[in-house]
Amino acid sequence: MAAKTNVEQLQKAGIIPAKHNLTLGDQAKVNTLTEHEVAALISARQKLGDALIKKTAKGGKFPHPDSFSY
Amino acid sequence: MSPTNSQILRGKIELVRPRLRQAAGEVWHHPRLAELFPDLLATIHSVIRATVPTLKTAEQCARARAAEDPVCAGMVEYLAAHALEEKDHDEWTLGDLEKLGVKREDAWQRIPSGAAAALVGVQYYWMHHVHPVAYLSYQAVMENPPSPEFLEQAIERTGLPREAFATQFFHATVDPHHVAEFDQLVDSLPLNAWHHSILGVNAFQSVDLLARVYEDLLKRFEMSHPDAASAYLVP
Repeated sequence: MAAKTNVEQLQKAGIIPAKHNLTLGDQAKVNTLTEHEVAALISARQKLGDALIKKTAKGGKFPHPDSFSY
Repeated sequence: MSPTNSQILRGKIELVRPRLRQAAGEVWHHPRLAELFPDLLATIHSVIRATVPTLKTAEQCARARAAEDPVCAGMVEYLAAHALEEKDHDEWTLGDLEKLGVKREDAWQRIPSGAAAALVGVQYYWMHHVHPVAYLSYQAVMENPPSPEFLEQAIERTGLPREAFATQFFHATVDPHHVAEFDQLVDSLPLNAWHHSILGVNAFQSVDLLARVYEDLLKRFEMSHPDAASAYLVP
């Protein structure tokens, strides 16, 4: 059986919800991640697909800060 | 053409930054931002009070390995110089809080969230016990300058004094230059797959913890203001 891609593993873990498709560019990025990076995403329970969609929906004309700009 | 080191790192962060943007947006677009803003500045202070100490620790860890490790050797001077550039920014934030009537001693008395402690604390682990290069992903996550236009809107929306946003405006002006310098440094380092993996893991973890810092801030505000329902104002 062929090894699962990172995208498939993250879909299985619920990190990329099956109903949301990542762009081809993001899929390519995800598939270059190491197993340790994939594990870190799963550990943090970050929802990539959901989050990417929210970014589009809630973008403003001038983006709000998202870090502390230390 | 192959992507540069900084492009690889930023590409990974962009995958997860939407969650951070959402968490930060819940705060910055809160309908009661004027009341929440002192808590936001105090939270920022709880994290950035550790900036210079963590930069100095990263420099020390890198210097200790520099003779045998070209990545560490390449980081030392940059970290030392950047620690000087970041000096007193935490104090400036306390000054901004004073403009809002919050005394410095009260800001120091406030107990930071566990997420803030974890966000900073894990950096020490990576630097001391894995490799100082990990610190660079924390820096890439944290140093994302605000836009002056957004800050102007926030002043208008809240009616708060411009002086309370002074440090934010400073970062909006200076940080783009810092970002360029940072990318230049990262691109100059002889990173291998192991280093890139460390950078990615710490970037994902740092984004997650920083998002939790925002979430904790909002929870704390809503607990102390039971009538302040979380209502994200879509821009």
